Amino acid sequence: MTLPRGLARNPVLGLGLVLLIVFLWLIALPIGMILQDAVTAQPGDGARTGVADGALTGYYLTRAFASRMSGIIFFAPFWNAMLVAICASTLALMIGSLLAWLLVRSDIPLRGWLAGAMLIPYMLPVWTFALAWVTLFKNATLGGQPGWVQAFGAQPPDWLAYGAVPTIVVLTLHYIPFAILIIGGALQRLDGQLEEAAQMLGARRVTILRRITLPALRPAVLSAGLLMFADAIGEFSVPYILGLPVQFETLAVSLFRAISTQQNGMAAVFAGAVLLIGVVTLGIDAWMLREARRFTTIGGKGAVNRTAPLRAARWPIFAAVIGVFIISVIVPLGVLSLSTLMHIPGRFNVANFTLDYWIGTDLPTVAFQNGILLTPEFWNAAWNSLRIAGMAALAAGVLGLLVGYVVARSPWRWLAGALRGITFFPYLVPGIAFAAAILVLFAAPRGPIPALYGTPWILLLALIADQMPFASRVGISAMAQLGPDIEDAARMMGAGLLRRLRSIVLPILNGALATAILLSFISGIKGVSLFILLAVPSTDVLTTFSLRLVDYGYAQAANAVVLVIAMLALLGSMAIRRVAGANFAQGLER
Amino acid sequence: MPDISLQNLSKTFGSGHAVQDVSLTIKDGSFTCILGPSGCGKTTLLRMIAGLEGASSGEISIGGQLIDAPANGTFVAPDQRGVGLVFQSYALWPHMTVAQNVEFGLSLQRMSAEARRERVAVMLGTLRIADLADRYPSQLSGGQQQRVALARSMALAPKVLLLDEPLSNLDAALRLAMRAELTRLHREFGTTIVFVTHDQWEAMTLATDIVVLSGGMVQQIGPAIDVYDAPRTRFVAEFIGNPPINIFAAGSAAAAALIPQHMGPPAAITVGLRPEAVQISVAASTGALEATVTALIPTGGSWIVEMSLQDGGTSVLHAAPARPDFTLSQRVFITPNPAGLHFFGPDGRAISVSPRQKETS
Repeated sequence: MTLPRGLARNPVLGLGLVLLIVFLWLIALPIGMILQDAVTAQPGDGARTGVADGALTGYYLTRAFASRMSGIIFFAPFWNAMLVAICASTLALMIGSLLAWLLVRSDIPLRGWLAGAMLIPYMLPVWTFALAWVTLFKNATLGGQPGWVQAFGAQPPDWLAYGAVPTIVVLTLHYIPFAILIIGGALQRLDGQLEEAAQMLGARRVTILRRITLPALRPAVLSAGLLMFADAIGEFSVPYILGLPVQFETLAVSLFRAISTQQNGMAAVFAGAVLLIGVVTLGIDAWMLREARRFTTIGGKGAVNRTAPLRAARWPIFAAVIGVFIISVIVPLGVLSLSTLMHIPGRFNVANFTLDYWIGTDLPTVAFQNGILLTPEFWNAAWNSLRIAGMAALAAGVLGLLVGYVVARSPWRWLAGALRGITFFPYLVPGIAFAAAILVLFAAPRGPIPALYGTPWILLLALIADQMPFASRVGISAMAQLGPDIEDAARMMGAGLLRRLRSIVLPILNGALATAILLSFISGIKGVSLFILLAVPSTDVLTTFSLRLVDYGYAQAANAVVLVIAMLALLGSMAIRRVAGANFAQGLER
Repeated sequence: MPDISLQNLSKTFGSGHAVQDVSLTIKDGSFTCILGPSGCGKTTLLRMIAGLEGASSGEISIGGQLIDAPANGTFVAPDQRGVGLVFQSYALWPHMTVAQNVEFGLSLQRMSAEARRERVAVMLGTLRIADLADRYPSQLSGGQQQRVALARSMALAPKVLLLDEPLSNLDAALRLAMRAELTRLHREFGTTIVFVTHDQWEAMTLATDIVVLSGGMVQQIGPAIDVYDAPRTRFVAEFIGNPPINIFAAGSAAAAALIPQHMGPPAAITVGLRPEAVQISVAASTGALEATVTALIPTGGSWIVEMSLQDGGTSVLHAAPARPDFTLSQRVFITPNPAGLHFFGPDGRAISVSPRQKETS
């Protein structure tokens, strides 16, 4: 097939090429540029690097990895990030596996309700827990209003109030639902007949668990662990809130600090390091999944799943699971809600309760003298959140569907592969590193594109790119289910590409599209690490606005904003559950 | 006359040939079947006629008009060919009602709303699905879905109607009904119909002409009954017929016994014998093959007798119209009805010296 003939007859190729160019610009270019920054002398660094601005230099790499300062600058944050990521993902894996087994295979009471309820923590922004923790355990190390424990007269030690321990606990609570989803899903797909076959041969329950069930689940368990690890390495908001008071820094926080102190070269090194860890981890995951597929047999439909009786332990175990639910949902949301209603934290008498922080006026504070609902900045941020997340979600959903379309229909396999690869790439890059990359690209005018920093456009573009892995996966899997016949039937009657997309593909796939848009929207509403570098006060979204409030010490107002975000995310997730039904679990993986 | 003419048509995907140097003419008004095992290139051939695939080399013309000729860059879009295609999956648009499905093509033709409504009503009436107009495809049975797919294609009054495995997704009773329906539509509209199938029953019962395809190449073209009675290759003989033709390997004693004297040295000739041409006797006779009955299989209206030759254990099938009078393990003697005997050379081609073929040719 010659090229002009192919292109002329197949507009899918043209569409695919356009998409490829867009994503090269939006995804590959910024990442390439930030990696280049790590070995290029940055403006103003001439004295330190000893070379002219823009020339090649090993200064930043040396400083990070092989200087007297390396221990403080790079390795301390690196090991902190590793510590947090390894501990949190291991703990979440252990607790999550146990819960997954209980929810899928045991006769625990209220199984159906628990299966839904235990997933709630994953729908909340992760720093909800961090703020709740601070509200509870804050001690005298940090000025301002006291924490609740302090208000009751005890003084929480620093290791409990800040740093590694709370960061690990908070991330563990956040990841447990993720582990439940992946391992529970694998457990559900595992055909019970595999276990019954072993039983028929005389294997005891312990033997079956050890020799059949666990090995069969190993790929899912390892995969869940690696995905959590990769996410935790790049996590910014929790270590930022909980770590800074005791100088507990992770790579993501170092990256943020480097950028906010104009050390662009060092920021590029941190971004590269975080990116490399992400790529390696998910590379291992992809490799292991491929290995696992060799011996995976998908159980037949209606796989038999018998539930194991818990007998006497039934109610105690139920109580323990409810305990986890209380700790990970009721306590954080309750503490945050109550904290916004109290003048002085932790003092439970009637006079101390107030609605002032929501709807009051003339509060005795330096700024934000009105309740949050009467503050124009709040509504400005809310409006920004809604329109930026909304428009980005819409764009990502549609682009994802178009990518899926080209992947499914392109006669050029390299084009399908390239699009699939490049749209998936941001998944490997933690939000804050990707934001740093986007910042490099859009900080100055380039070609016809003006400098976008300081405008909502940079947030919008970053969010679209960041959502592409998920959106394109939805598009690809939806299109995979839409056989070519249904379109060929329209082609036979003379319907062109646009007409087919409009009259056939979109109406059939509108469910998948709605899911992709809603999920991207929620993720945009609750996301913080992508925005923290890109937003300026006038383009604040709810998440960055609340972090600014945290920084300035307006705890009640910050908590109130976080509650609003949590409620939006929760309602959105429930709406998705309505729309998408069974796809829910799959959708939460991002 | 809208004859469909294929000249040296080939289609390659990557390095493989899906269709290889196919030349044939499908006569105007015929009901032609392209028959072959799965993967033989028959659907690719159909899609090339439809215009959903472009040929790699060769030519396609309909009614004398060239519609695909890569050599000089001719390619007529599917909708400009006057061709309708009914997919094996029916490919009904799930988000449109029956009436909307039929109407879609008409609206692409910029037909007025009034005319469209009229045409839809006529088509639904013709296919006897007028009462289903407002249903969605998921609410229809397989047979009903196929009628909708037919109505959708025929609404545009194509000169040629292409069907991909038209009966394969239907159950036995529906197949008969649909078969009658297709025959009726063919008679009523005089449309040229081309369909592809791997199912010889479908081919034999529907088609006036059959094109047997294997490995992307045409094996035989001709009226259905000729293809059965006078297969030109061993492949055709083995592919068509149920139960399948009995094959006696070249050089075996049984083959030697079945080959007439005048055909020359038998060592290289493979012998085929249609099951219905197997005559079984309990008494020995000269030249008869001795065998043991190994199974008696009822197939509803008729029976299949499975035997094993005394000499070498080759399995032989016989189709009997009524319950055969044998018992298992009984010793029997087989003689052929010469009309059902076929001989093939080492290249798989038929050697046309069987008495019957002499008569017909």
